Amino acid sequence: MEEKKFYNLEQLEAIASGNEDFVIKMVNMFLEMTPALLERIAAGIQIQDWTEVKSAVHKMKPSVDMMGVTDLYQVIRDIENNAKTNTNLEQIPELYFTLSDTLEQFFEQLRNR
Amino acid sequence: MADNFSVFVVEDDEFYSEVLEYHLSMNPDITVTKFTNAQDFLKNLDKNPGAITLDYSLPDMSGEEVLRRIKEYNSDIPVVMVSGQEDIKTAITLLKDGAYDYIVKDEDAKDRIWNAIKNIRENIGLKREISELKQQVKKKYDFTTSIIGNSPAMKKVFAMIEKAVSSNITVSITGETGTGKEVVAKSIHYNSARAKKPFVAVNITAIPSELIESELFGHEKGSFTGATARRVGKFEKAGEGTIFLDEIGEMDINMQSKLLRVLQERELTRVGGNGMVKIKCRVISATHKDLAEEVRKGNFREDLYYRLLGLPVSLPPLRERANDTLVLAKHFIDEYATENELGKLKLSSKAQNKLFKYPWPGNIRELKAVVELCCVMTDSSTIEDKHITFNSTGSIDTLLQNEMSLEAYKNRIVKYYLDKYNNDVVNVAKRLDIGKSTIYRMLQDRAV
Repeated sequence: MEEKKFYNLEQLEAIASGNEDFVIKMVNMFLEMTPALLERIAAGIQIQDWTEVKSAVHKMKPSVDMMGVTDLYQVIRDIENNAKTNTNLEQIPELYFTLSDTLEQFFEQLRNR
Repeated sequence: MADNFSVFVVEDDEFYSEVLEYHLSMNPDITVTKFTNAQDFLKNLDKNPGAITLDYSLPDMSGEEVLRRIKEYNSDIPVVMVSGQEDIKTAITLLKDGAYDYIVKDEDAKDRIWNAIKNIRENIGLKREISELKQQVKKKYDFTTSIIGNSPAMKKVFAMIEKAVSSNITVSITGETGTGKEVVAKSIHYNSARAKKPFVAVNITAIPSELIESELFGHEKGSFTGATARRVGKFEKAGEGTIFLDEIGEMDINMQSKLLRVLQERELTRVGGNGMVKIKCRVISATHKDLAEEVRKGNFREDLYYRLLGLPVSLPPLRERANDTLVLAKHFIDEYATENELGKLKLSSKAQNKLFKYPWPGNIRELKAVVELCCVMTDSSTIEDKHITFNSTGSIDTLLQNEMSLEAYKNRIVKYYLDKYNNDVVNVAKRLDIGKSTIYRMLQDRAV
Protein backbone atom coordinates (compact mmCIF):
# COMPACT_ATOMS: atom_id res chain seq x y z
CA MET A 1 0.00 0.00 0.00
CA GLU A 2 1.25 3.40 -0.88
CA GLU A 3 2.41 5.56 1.98
CA LYS A 4 0.20 8.49 2.87
CA LYS A 5 1.57 11.77 1.60
CA PHE A 6 1.32 14.44 4.25
CA TYR A 7 2.03 17.42 2.15
CA ASN A 8 1.05 19.12 -1.05
CA LEU A 9 3.49 21.55 -2.59
CA GLU A 10 1.04 22.77 -5.23
CA GLN A 11 0.66 26.16 -3.60
CA LEU A 12 4.37 26.69 -3.30
CA GLU A 13 4.95 25.48 -6.83
CA ALA A 14 2.26 27.81 -8.08
CA ILE A 15 4.12 30.71 -6.57
CA ALA A 16 7.43 29.46 -7.87
CA SER A 17 5.88 29.14 -11.33
CA GLY A 18 8.48 26.73 -12.61
CA ASN A 19 11.42 27.85 -10.54
CA GLU A 20 12.45 24.60 -8.80
CA ASP A 21 15.34 26.32 -7.00
CA PHE A 22 12.86 28.44 -5.16
CA VAL A 23 10.86 25.39 -4.07
CA ILE A 24 14.03 23.68 -2.80
CA LYS A 25 15.10 26.81 -0.98
CA MET A 26 11.76 27.14 0.76
CA VAL A 27 11.61 23.44 1.66
CA ASN A 28 15.07 23.66 3.22
CA MET A 29 14.11 26.77 5.07
CA PHE A 30 11.07 25.03 6.43
CA LEU A 31 13.12 22.04 7.54
CA GLU A 32 15.54 24.32 9.34
CA MET A 33 12.99 26.55 11.05
CA THR A 34 10.25 24.24 12.16
CA PRO A 35 12.08 21.91 14.60
CA ALA A 36 13.20 24.93 16.63
CA LEU A 37 9.62 26.14 16.79
CA LEU A 38 8.44 22.70 17.88
CA GLU A 39 10.97 22.81 20.71
CA ARG A 40 9.68 26.19 21.79
CA ILE A 41 6.15 24.83 21.92
CA ALA A 42 7.22 21.81 23.93
CA ALA A 43 9.19 23.95 26.38
CA GLY A 44 6.25 26.32 26.71
CA ILE A 45 3.85 23.50 27.52
CA GLN A 46 6.26 22.17 30.16
CA ILE A 47 6.29 25.39 32.13
CA GLN A 48 2.70 26.27 31.14
CA ASP A 49 3.81 29.46 29.44
CA TRP A 50 0.83 29.74 27.10
CA THR A 51 1.92 33.04 25.61
CA GLU A 52 5.11 31.38 24.42
CA VAL A 53 3.12 28.43 23.04
CA LYS A 54 0.80 30.74 21.21
CA SER A 55 3.60 32.82 19.75
CA ALA A 56 5.57 29.80 18.52
CA VAL A 57 2.60 28.05 16.96
CA HIS A 58 1.51 31.31 15.40
CA LYS A 59 4.88 31.60 13.66
CA MET A 60 4.61 28.07 12.41
CA LYS A 61 1.17 28.52 10.91
CA PRO A 62 1.88 30.24 7.57
CA SER A 63 4.69 27.89 6.55
CA VAL A 64 2.78 24.73 7.46
CA ASP A 65 -0.21 26.05 5.51
CA MET A 66 2.00 26.84 2.57
CA MET A 67 3.44 23.35 2.58
CA GLY A 68 -0.05 22.03 2.24
CA VAL A 69 -0.05 19.88 5.38
CA THR A 70 -3.82 19.80 5.50
CA ASP A 71 -3.93 17.35 8.43
CA LEU A 72 -2.42 20.03 10.62
CA TYR A 73 -4.52 22.94 9.51
CA GLN A 74 -7.04 22.59 12.33
CA VAL A 75 -4.58 21.23 14.91
CA ILE A 76 -2.42 24.32 14.70
CA ARG A 77 -5.39 26.61 14.99
CA ASP A 78 -6.76 24.73 17.98
CA ILE A 79 -3.45 25.00 19.84
CA GLU A 80 -3.16 28.65 19.05
CA ASN A 81 -6.71 29.43 20.02
CA ASN A 82 -6.67 27.47 23.25
CA ALA A 83 -3.37 29.01 24.31
CA LYS A 84 -4.56 32.45 23.43
CA THR A 85 -7.89 32.26 25.24
CA ASN A 86 -6.65 30.08 28.11
CA THR A 87 -9.40 27.54 27.47
CA ASN A 88 -9.23 23.76 27.19
CA LEU A 89 -5.57 23.96 28.12
CA GLU A 90 -5.61 20.25 29.04
CA GLN A 91 -6.09 19.43 25.34
CA ILE A 92 -2.91 21.18 24.30
CA PRO A 93 -0.38 18.41 25.13
CA GLU A 94 -2.46 15.92 23.14
CA LEU A 95 -2.69 18.31 20.23
CA TYR A 96 1.03 18.91 20.46
CA PHE A 97 1.76 15.20 20.07
CA THR A 98 -0.39 15.04 16.96
CA LEU A 99 1.48 18.06 15.65
CA SER A 100 4.97 16.76 16.33
CA ASP A 101 4.21 13.20 15.13
CA THR A 102 2.76 14.41 11.89
CA LEU A 103 5.59 16.85 11.36
CA GLU A 104 8.21 14.16 11.97
CA GLN A 105 6.70 12.01 9.24
CA PHE A 106 6.34 15.02 7.02
CA PHE A 107 10.02 15.98 7.51
CA GLU A 108 10.99 12.46 6.57
CA GLN A 109 8.95 12.58 3.40
CA LEU A 110 10.29 16.01 2.49
CA ARG A 111 13.91 14.97 2.94
CA ASN A 112 13.35 11.97 0.68
CA ARG A 113 11.44 13.94 -1.85
CA MET B 1 3.97 53.19 -14.44
CA ALA B 2 7.13 51.82 -15.88
CA ASP B 3 9.25 53.25 -13.13
CA ASN B 4 10.55 51.17 -10.31
CA PHE B 5 8.32 50.62 -7.34
CA SER B 6 9.86 49.92 -3.96
CA VAL B 7 8.01 47.71 -1.49
CA PHE B 8 9.19 47.16 2.07
CA VAL B 9 8.20 43.79 3.50
CA VAL B 10 8.30 43.91 7.29
CA GLU B 11 7.85 40.38 8.53
CA ASP B 12 9.58 38.45 11.28
CA ASP B 13 8.64 35.06 9.82
CA GLU B 14 11.49 34.43 7.41
CA PHE B 15 9.62 31.73 5.59
CA TYR B 16 6.70 33.95 4.87
CA SER B 17 8.73 37.00 3.93
CA GLU B 18 10.73 34.87 1.53
CA VAL B 19 7.53 33.75 -0.16
CA LEU B 20 6.23 37.29 -0.29
CA GLU B 21 9.42 38.66 -1.72
CA TYR B 22 9.52 35.99 -4.36
CA HIS B 23 5.89 36.49 -5.25
CA LEU B 24 6.02 40.28 -5.49
CA SER B 25 9.31 40.22 -7.40
CA MET B 26 7.55 38.32 -10.18
CA ASN B 27 6.70 41.80 -11.35
CA PRO B 28 10.02 43.11 -12.63
CA ASP B 29 9.07 46.70 -11.77
CA ILE B 30 8.87 45.90 -8.08
CA THR B 31 11.88 45.95 -5.81
CA VAL B 32 11.37 44.27 -2.45
CA THR B 33 13.38 45.07 0.66
CA LYS B 34 12.88 42.78 3.65
CA PHE B 35 13.04 43.66 7.33
CA THR B 36 12.60 41.24 10.20
CA ASN B 37 12.07 43.73 13.00
CA ALA B 38 10.56 47.13 13.53
CA GLN B 39 13.75 48.91 14.61
CA ASP B 40 15.66 48.15 11.40
CA PHE B 41 12.68 49.01 9.33
CA LEU B 42 12.00 52.36 10.99
CA LYS B 43 15.63 53.34 10.50
CA ASN B 44 15.14 52.86 6.77
CA LEU B 45 11.83 54.64 6.49
CA ASP B 46 13.55 57.70 5.06
CA LYS B 47 14.14 55.72 1.86
CA ASN B 48 10.48 56.43 1.15
CA PRO B 49 9.10 53.09 -0.02
CA GLY B 50 6.12 53.16 -2.39
CA ALA B 51 4.26 50.71 -0.18
CA ILE B 52 4.79 48.66 2.96
CA THR B 53 3.48 45.27 3.99
CA LEU B 54 3.62 45.11 7.74
CA ASP B 55 3.30 42.03 9.91
CA TYR B 56 1.04 42.72 12.83
CA SER B 57 3.05 40.81 15.41
CA LEU B 58 6.67 41.83 15.26
CA PRO B 59 9.03 40.75 18.06
CA ASP B 60 10.04 44.24 19.14
CA MET B 61 7.00 46.42 18.63
CA SER B 62 3.24 46.13 18.21
CA GLY B 63 1.70 46.55 14.78
CA GLU B 64 -0.34 49.55 15.91
CA GLU B 65 2.77 51.28 17.14
CA VAL B 66 4.71 50.71 13.92
CA LEU B 67 1.76 51.87 11.85
CA ARG B 68 1.47 54.99 13.96
CA ARG B 69 5.14 55.79 13.43
CA ILE B 70 4.90 55.29 9.68
CA LYS B 71 1.88 57.57 9.53
CA GLU B 72 3.69 60.15 11.61
CA TYR B 73 6.59 60.10 9.23
CA ASN B 74 4.53 60.28 6.06
CA SER B 75 0.82 59.62 6.07
CA ASP B 76 0.81 59.09 2.29
CA ILE B 77 2.70 55.79 2.29
CA PRO B 78 0.16 52.99 1.93
CA VAL B 79 0.56 50.26 4.55
CA VAL B 80 -0.88 46.79 4.02
CA MET B 81 -1.23 45.05 7.37
CA VAL B 82 -0.60 41.33 7.28
CA SER B 83 -1.68 39.29 10.24
CA GLY B 84 -1.61 35.64 11.19
CA GLN B 85 -4.93 36.01 12.87
CA GLU B 86 -8.32 37.07 11.84
CA ASP B 87 -9.44 39.59 14.39
CA ILE B 88 -12.13 41.95 13.25
CA LYS B 89 -11.60 44.39 16.10
CA THR B 90 -7.90 44.77 15.39
CA ALA B 91 -8.61 45.05 11.68
CA ILE B 92 -11.06 47.89 12.22
CA THR B 93 -8.70 49.71 14.55
CA LEU B 94 -5.85 49.43 12.08
CA LEU B 95 -7.95 50.56 9.15
CA LYS B 96 -9.14 53.52 11.19
CA ASP B 97 -5.54 54.35 11.97
CA GLY B 98 -4.84 54.61 8.28
CA ALA B 99 -3.85 51.12 7.14
CA TYR B 100 -4.54 50.61 3.45
CA ASP B 101 -5.70 47.04 3.89
CA TYR B 102 -5.79 44.21 6.42
CA ILE B 103 -4.91 40.79 5.11
CA VAL B 104 -4.92 37.49 6.99
CA LYS B 105 -2.16 35.02 6.19
CA ASP B 106 -4.16 32.27 4.60
CA GLU B 107 -4.11 30.52 1.29
CA ASP B 108 -5.25 33.58 -0.65
CA ALA B 109 -3.12 36.05 1.24
CA LYS B 110 -0.35 36.32 -1.30
CA ASP B 111 -2.80 37.03 -4.10
CA ARG B 112 -4.58 39.60 -2.01
CA ILE B 113 -1.30 41.27 -1.14
CA TRP B 114 -0.38 41.21 -4.82
CA ASN B 115 -3.67 42.88 -5.66
CA ALA B 116 -3.31 45.42 -2.90
CA ILE B 117 0.13 46.39 -4.18
CA LYS B 118 -1.19 46.53 -7.72
CA ASN B 119 -4.02 48.82 -6.66
CA ILE B 120 -1.65 51.00 -4.72
CA ARG B 121 0.56 51.40 -7.74
CA GLU B 122 -2.41 52.29 -9.93
CA ASN B 123 -3.57 54.72 -7.31
CA ILE B 124 -0.21 56.39 -7.13
CA GLY B 125 -0.12 56.58 -10.90
CA LEU B 126 -3.53 58.24 -10.93
CA LYS B 127 -2.60 60.64 -8.18
CA ARG B 128 0.49 61.65 -10.06
CA GLU B 129 -1.52 62.09 -13.22
CA ILE B 130 -4.06 64.27 -11.44
CA SER B 131 -1.39 66.50 -9.98
CA GLU B 132 0.25 66.82 -13.39
CA LEU B 133 -3.08 67.70 -14.97
CA LYS B 134 -3.71 70.25 -12.26
CA GLN B 135 -0.38 71.80 -13.06
CA GLN B 136 -1.32 71.91 -16.72
CA VAL B 137 -4.64 73.55 -15.96
CA LYS B 138 -2.86 76.07 -13.81
CA LYS B 139 -0.47 76.80 -16.61
CA LYS B 140 -3.37 77.12 -19.01
CA TYR B 141 -4.98 79.72 -16.82
CA ASP B 142 -1.84 81.55 -15.89
CA PHE B 143 -3.30 84.91 -16.80
CA THR B 144 -0.12 86.21 -18.33
CA THR B 145 -0.47 83.55 -21.04
CA SER B 146 -4.22 82.94 -21.21
CA ILE B 147 -5.21 86.57 -21.42
CA ILE B 148 -3.48 88.33 -24.24
CA GLY B 149 -3.15 91.99 -24.94
CA ASN B 150 -0.90 94.99 -24.51
CA SER B 151 -3.44 97.75 -24.89
CA PRO B 152 -3.76 100.31 -22.08
CA ALA B 153 -7.32 99.09 -21.48
CA MET B 154 -6.05 95.55 -20.87
CA LYS B 155 -3.22 96.72 -18.63
CA LYS B 156 -5.89 98.05 -16.29
CA VAL B 157 -7.63 94.68 -16.39
CA PHE B 158 -4.39 92.87 -15.54
CA ALA B 159 -3.85 95.13 -12.56
CA MET B 160 -7.34 94.29 -11.28
CA ILE B 161 -6.86 90.55 -11.79
CA GLU B 162 -3.66 90.67 -9.80
CA LYS B 163 -5.51 92.32 -6.94
CA ALA B 164 -8.24 89.69 -7.16
CA VAL B 165 -5.73 86.83 -7.14
CA SER B 166 -3.98 87.94 -3.99
CA SER B 167 -7.15 88.52 -1.98
CA ASN B 168 -10.39 86.78 -1.22
CA ILE B 169 -12.66 89.57 -2.31
CA THR B 170 -15.84 89.00 -4.28
CA VAL B 171 -15.31 89.89 -7.92
CA SER B 172 -17.75 91.17 -10.49
CA ILE B 173 -16.84 91.03 -14.14
CA THR B 174 -18.58 93.06 -16.78
CA GLY B 175 -18.00 93.08 -20.48
CA GLU B 176 -19.77 92.52 -23.76
CA THR B 177 -20.40 89.04 -25.02
CA GLY B 178 -17.23 87.29 -26.10
CA THR B 179 -14.81 89.48 -24.20
CA GLY B 180 -13.60 86.57 -22.07
CA LYS B 181 -15.44 86.91 -18.78
CA GLU B 182 -15.19 83.23 -17.98
CA VAL B 183 -11.49 83.13 -18.91
CA VAL B 184 -10.87 85.94 -16.46
CA ALA B 185 -12.89 84.19 -13.74
CA LYS B 186 -10.91 80.97 -14.24
CA SER B 187 -7.64 82.86 -14.27
CA ILE B 188 -8.48 84.44 -10.96
CA HIS B 189 -9.42 81.08 -9.48
CA TYR B 190 -6.45 79.09 -10.76
CA ASN B 191 -3.96 81.69 -9.67
CA SER B 192 -5.43 82.20 -6.23
CA ALA B 193 -4.91 80.25 -3.03
CA ARG B 194 -8.07 78.32 -3.93
CA ALA B 195 -6.54 76.84 -7.09
CA LYS B 196 -6.61 73.27 -5.81
CA LYS B 197 -10.27 73.50 -4.84
CA PRO B 198 -13.12 73.26 -7.35
CA PHE B 199 -14.14 75.93 -9.84
CA VAL B 200 -17.86 75.67 -10.46
CA ALA B 201 -19.42 77.72 -13.25
CA VAL B 202 -23.16 78.33 -13.41
CA ASN B 203 -24.77 80.09 -16.31
CA ILE B 204 -27.95 81.62 -14.94
CA THR B 205 -29.59 81.89 -18.36
CA ALA B 206 -29.02 78.21 -19.05
CA ILE B 207 -31.19 77.05 -16.16
CA PRO B 208 -34.99 77.31 -16.12
CA SER B 209 -36.03 79.74 -13.41
CA GLU B 210 -38.05 77.09 -11.50
CA LEU B 211 -34.97 74.95 -11.13
CA ILE B 212 -32.38 77.55 -10.36
CA GLU B 213 -32.85 77.50 -6.62
CA SER B 214 -32.28 73.77 -6.35
CA GLU B 215 -29.44 74.01 -8.84
CA LEU B 216 -27.65 76.58 -6.72
CA PHE B 217 -28.55 75.42 -3.23
CA GLY B 218 -29.41 71.75 -3.74
CA HIS B 219 -32.51 69.99 -2.52
CA GLU B 220 -33.55 67.22 -0.18
CA LYS B 221 -35.13 64.02 -1.35
CA GLY B 222 -38.85 64.46 -1.92
CA SER B 223 -38.83 68.23 -1.66
CA PHE B 224 -40.77 68.44 -4.91
CA THR B 225 -42.15 66.10 -7.55
CA GLY B 226 -39.23 64.49 -9.27
CA ALA B 227 -36.76 65.10 -6.47
CA THR B 228 -36.03 61.42 -6.00
CA ALA B 229 -32.73 61.86 -4.22
CA ARG B 230 -30.87 64.44 -2.25
CA ARG B 231 -28.95 66.76 -4.48
CA VAL B 232 -25.98 68.89 -3.62
CA GLY B 233 -26.15 72.38 -5.09
CA LYS B 234 -23.48 74.31 -6.92
CA PHE B 235 -22.59 76.38 -3.87
CA GLU B 236 -21.84 73.22 -1.90
CA LYS B 237 -20.02 71.67 -4.84
CA ALA B 238 -17.72 74.66 -4.97
CA GLY B 239 -16.69 73.89 -1.38
CA GLU B 240 -13.75 76.10 -0.55
CA GLY B 241 -13.22 76.87 -4.21
CA THR B 242 -14.89 79.44 -6.43
CA ILE B 243 -18.41 79.69 -7.76
CA PHE B 244 -18.79 81.62 -10.99
CA LEU B 245 -22.26 83.05 -11.58
CA ASP B 246 -22.41 83.95 -15.23
CA GLU B 247 -25.11 86.24 -16.63
CA ILE B 248 -26.16 87.24 -13.13
CA GLY B 249 -28.13 90.13 -14.64
CA GLU B 250 -30.68 87.64 -15.96
CA MET B 251 -31.63 86.29 -12.56
CA ASP B 252 -35.25 86.86 -11.69
CA ILE B 253 -36.06 89.16 -8.85
CA ASN B 254 -37.35 86.48 -6.45
CA MET B 255 -34.22 84.47 -6.82
CA GLN B 256 -32.15 87.60 -6.33
CA SER B 257 -33.48 88.04 -2.81
CA LYS B 258 -32.79 84.39 -1.99
CA LEU B 259 -29.24 84.71 -3.27
CA LEU B 260 -28.76 87.92 -1.33
CA ARG B 261 -29.78 86.19 1.89
CA VAL B 262 -27.36 83.35 1.30
CA LEU B 263 -24.50 85.70 0.54
CA GLN B 264 -25.24 87.76 3.61
CA GLU B 265 -25.55 84.86 6.03
CA ARG B 266 -22.82 82.80 4.35
CA GLU B 267 -25.05 79.79 4.81
CA LEU B 268 -27.80 78.15 2.85
CA THR B 269 -30.69 75.77 3.29
CA ARG B 270 -31.30 73.10 0.67
CA VAL B 271 -34.74 73.26 -0.93
CA GLY B 272 -37.06 71.28 1.32
CA GLY B 273 -34.41 70.99 4.01
CA ASN B 274 -34.05 72.41 7.48
CA GLY B 275 -30.37 72.28 8.27
CA MET B 276 -28.02 75.12 7.50
CA VAL B 277 -25.01 74.50 5.32
CA LYS B 278 -22.08 76.88 5.65
CA ILE B 279 -20.68 78.21 2.41
CA LYS B 280 -17.00 78.92 2.11
CA CYS B 281 -16.54 79.55 -1.58
CA ARG B 282 -15.54 82.77 -3.23
CA VAL B 283 -18.14 84.34 -5.49
CA ILE B 284 -17.31 85.72 -8.90
CA SER B 285 -20.19 87.06 -10.94
CA ALA B 286 -20.34 88.25 -14.50
CA THR B 287 -22.78 89.98 -16.78
CA HIS B 288 -22.85 91.71 -20.14
CA LYS B 289 -25.45 94.13 -18.83
CA ASP B 290 -24.84 97.42 -17.14
CA LEU B 291 -26.02 96.36 -13.70
CA ALA B 292 -26.09 99.88 -12.31
CA GLU B 293 -28.51 100.74 -15.06
CA GLU B 294 -30.59 97.63 -14.29
CA VAL B 295 -30.73 98.75 -10.67
CA ARG B 296 -32.03 102.15 -11.72
CA LYS B 297 -34.66 100.49 -13.86
CA GLY B 298 -35.68 98.33 -10.93
CA ASN B 299 -34.72 95.04 -12.57
CA PHE B 300 -31.88 94.27 -10.21
CA ARG B 301 -31.84 94.59 -6.45
CA GLU B 302 -29.60 97.37 -5.27
CA ASP B 303 -28.49 95.52 -2.12
CA LEU B 304 -27.52 92.46 -4.14
CA TYR B 305 -25.70 94.67 -6.62
CA TYR B 306 -23.47 96.05 -3.88
CA ARG B 307 -23.07 92.63 -2.29
CA LEU B 308 -21.76 91.24 -5.58
CA LEU B 309 -19.82 94.26 -6.76
CA GLY B 310 -16.67 93.70 -4.68
CA LEU B 311 -13.78 94.24 -7.00
CA PRO B 312 -15.20 95.25 -10.37
CA VAL B 313 -13.30 94.08 -13.44
CA SER B 314 -14.53 95.68 -16.60
CA LEU B 315 -13.44 93.97 -19.79
CA PRO B 316 -13.10 96.34 -22.72
CA PRO B 317 -14.70 95.38 -26.04
CA LEU B 318 -12.22 94.37 -28.70
CA ARG B 319 -12.75 97.52 -30.74
CA GLU B 320 -11.40 99.58 -27.84
CA ARG B 321 -8.31 97.47 -27.47
CA ALA B 322 -6.17 99.16 -30.10
CA ASN B 323 -3.63 96.80 -31.53
CA ASP B 324 -4.83 93.81 -29.50
CA THR B 325 -7.02 92.66 -32.37
CA LEU B 326 -3.98 91.79 -34.42
CA VAL B 327 -2.04 90.39 -31.49
CA LEU B 328 -4.98 88.12 -30.73
CA ALA B 329 -5.55 87.24 -34.38
CA LYS B 330 -1.93 86.13 -34.69
CA HIS B 331 -2.25 84.14 -31.49
CA PHE B 332 -5.37 82.33 -32.73
CA ILE B 333 -3.78 81.66 -36.11
CA ASP B 334 -0.71 80.13 -34.46
CA GLU B 335 -2.88 78.13 -32.11
CA TYR B 336 -5.07 76.82 -34.90
CA ALA B 337 -2.12 76.09 -37.15
CA THR B 338 -0.34 74.14 -34.42
CA GLU B 339 -3.42 72.14 -33.50
CA ASN B 340 -4.07 71.20 -37.10
CA GLU B 341 -0.46 70.94 -38.19
CA LEU B 342 -0.85 73.54 -40.90
CA GLY B 343 2.62 74.98 -40.65
CA LYS B 344 3.30 78.67 -40.28
CA LEU B 345 0.51 80.99 -41.46
CA LYS B 346 0.75 84.75 -41.79
CA LEU B 347 -1.63 87.63 -42.50
CA SER B 348 -1.13 89.88 -45.50
CA SER B 349 -1.14 93.58 -44.71
CA LYS B 350 -4.49 94.02 -46.47
CA ALA B 351 -5.94 91.24 -44.36
CA GLN B 352 -4.52 92.83 -41.23
CA ASN B 353 -6.14 96.08 -42.22
CA LYS B 354 -9.49 94.40 -42.74
CA LEU B 355 -9.38 92.73 -39.32
CA PHE B 356 -8.27 95.94 -37.71
CA LYS B 357 -11.09 98.04 -39.15
CA TYR B 358 -13.90 95.65 -38.34
CA PRO B 359 -15.78 96.60 -35.15
CA TRP B 360 -16.05 93.04 -33.74
CA PRO B 361 -19.49 93.05 -32.12
CA GLY B 362 -18.90 89.46 -31.03
CA ASN B 363 -15.52 90.41 -29.65
CA ILE B 364 -12.82 87.81 -29.07
CA ARG B 365 -15.18 84.89 -29.59
CA GLU B 366 -16.06 86.23 -33.03
CA LEU B 367 -12.45 87.04 -33.83
CA LYS B 368 -11.47 83.48 -33.01
CA ALA B 369 -14.19 82.05 -35.26
CA VAL B 370 -13.36 84.38 -38.14
CA VAL B 371 -9.65 83.70 -37.89
CA GLU B 372 -10.11 79.95 -37.74
CA LEU B 373 -12.31 80.10 -40.81
CA CYS B 374 -9.71 82.02 -42.80
CA CYS B 375 -7.02 79.54 -41.75
CA VAL B 376 -9.15 76.93 -43.49
CA MET B 377 -9.98 79.10 -46.50
CA THR B 378 -6.44 79.97 -47.46
CA ASP B 379 -4.54 77.66 -49.79
CA SER B 380 -1.11 79.08 -49.20
CA SER B 381 0.80 80.15 -46.12
CA THR B 382 -0.58 83.67 -46.39
CA ILE B 383 -4.06 84.77 -45.43
CA GLU B 384 -5.37 87.42 -47.82
CA ASP B 385 -8.23 89.82 -47.17
CA LYS B 386 -10.50 87.81 -49.47
CA HIS B 387 -10.25 84.87 -47.11
CA ILE B 388 -11.80 86.86 -44.32
CA THR B 389 -15.57 86.68 -44.06
CA PHE B 390 -17.61 88.31 -41.37
CA ASN B 391 -20.82 86.63 -40.32
CA SER B 392 -21.97 89.03 -37.72
CA THR B 393 -25.56 88.47 -36.76
CA GLY B 394 -26.51 91.89 -35.43
CA SER B 395 -25.64 93.75 -38.65
CA ILE B 396 -27.43 96.97 -37.81
CA ASP B 397 -25.76 97.10 -34.43
CA THR B 398 -22.46 96.37 -36.08
CA LEU B 399 -22.93 99.27 -38.38
CA LEU B 400 -23.90 101.54 -35.53
CA GLN B 401 -20.85 100.55 -33.56
CA ASN B 402 -18.75 102.40 -36.13
CA GLU B 403 -20.09 105.59 -34.59
CA MET B 404 -19.84 107.59 -37.78
CA SER B 405 -21.59 110.86 -38.49
CA LEU B 406 -25.10 110.80 -39.91
CA GLU B 407 -23.70 112.11 -43.20
CA ALA B 408 -21.25 109.24 -43.37
CA TYR B 409 -23.99 106.70 -42.61
CA LYS B 410 -26.15 108.22 -45.31
CA ASN B 411 -23.35 107.92 -47.85
CA ARG B 412 -22.71 104.36 -46.85
CA ILE B 413 -26.34 103.36 -47.22
CA VAL B 414 -26.60 104.90 -50.68
CA LYS B 415 -23.35 103.23 -51.75
CA TYR B 416 -24.68 99.87 -50.57
CA TYR B 417 -27.78 100.24 -52.73
CA LEU B 418 -25.84 101.48 -55.73
CA ASP B 419 -23.51 98.51 -55.53
CA LYS B 420 -26.41 96.14 -55.17
CA TYR B 421 -28.40 97.51 -58.12
CA ASN B 422 -25.54 98.06 -60.55
CA ASN B 423 -25.48 101.81 -60.13
CA ASP B 424 -29.06 102.07 -61.39
CA VAL B 425 -29.73 105.50 -59.89
CA VAL B 426 -33.42 105.56 -60.80
CA ASN B 427 -34.08 102.22 -59.16
CA VAL B 428 -32.11 103.14 -56.03
CA ALA B 429 -33.86 106.51 -55.71
CA LYS B 430 -37.19 104.74 -55.84
CA ARG B 431 -36.22 102.15 -53.24
CA LEU B 432 -34.79 104.70 -50.82
CA ASP B 433 -37.61 107.09 -51.50
CA ILE B 434 -35.30 110.02 -52.22
CA GLY B 435 -34.82 112.23 -55.24
CA LYS B 436 -32.60 111.11 -58.12
CA SER B 437 -30.79 114.43 -57.96
CA THR B 438 -29.72 113.78 -54.37
CA ILE B 439 -27.92 110.66 -55.55
CA TYR B 440 -26.39 112.40 -58.54
CA ARG B 441 -25.12 115.14 -56.24
CA MET B 442 -23.56 112.60 -53.95
CA LEU B 443 -21.91 110.92 -56.92
CA GLN B 444 -20.60 114.24 -58.11
CA ASP B 445 -19.12 115.00 -54.70
CA ARG B 446 -17.52 111.56 -54.82
CA ALA B 447 -19.19 110.89 -51.51
CA VAL B 448 -20.32 107.48 -52.70
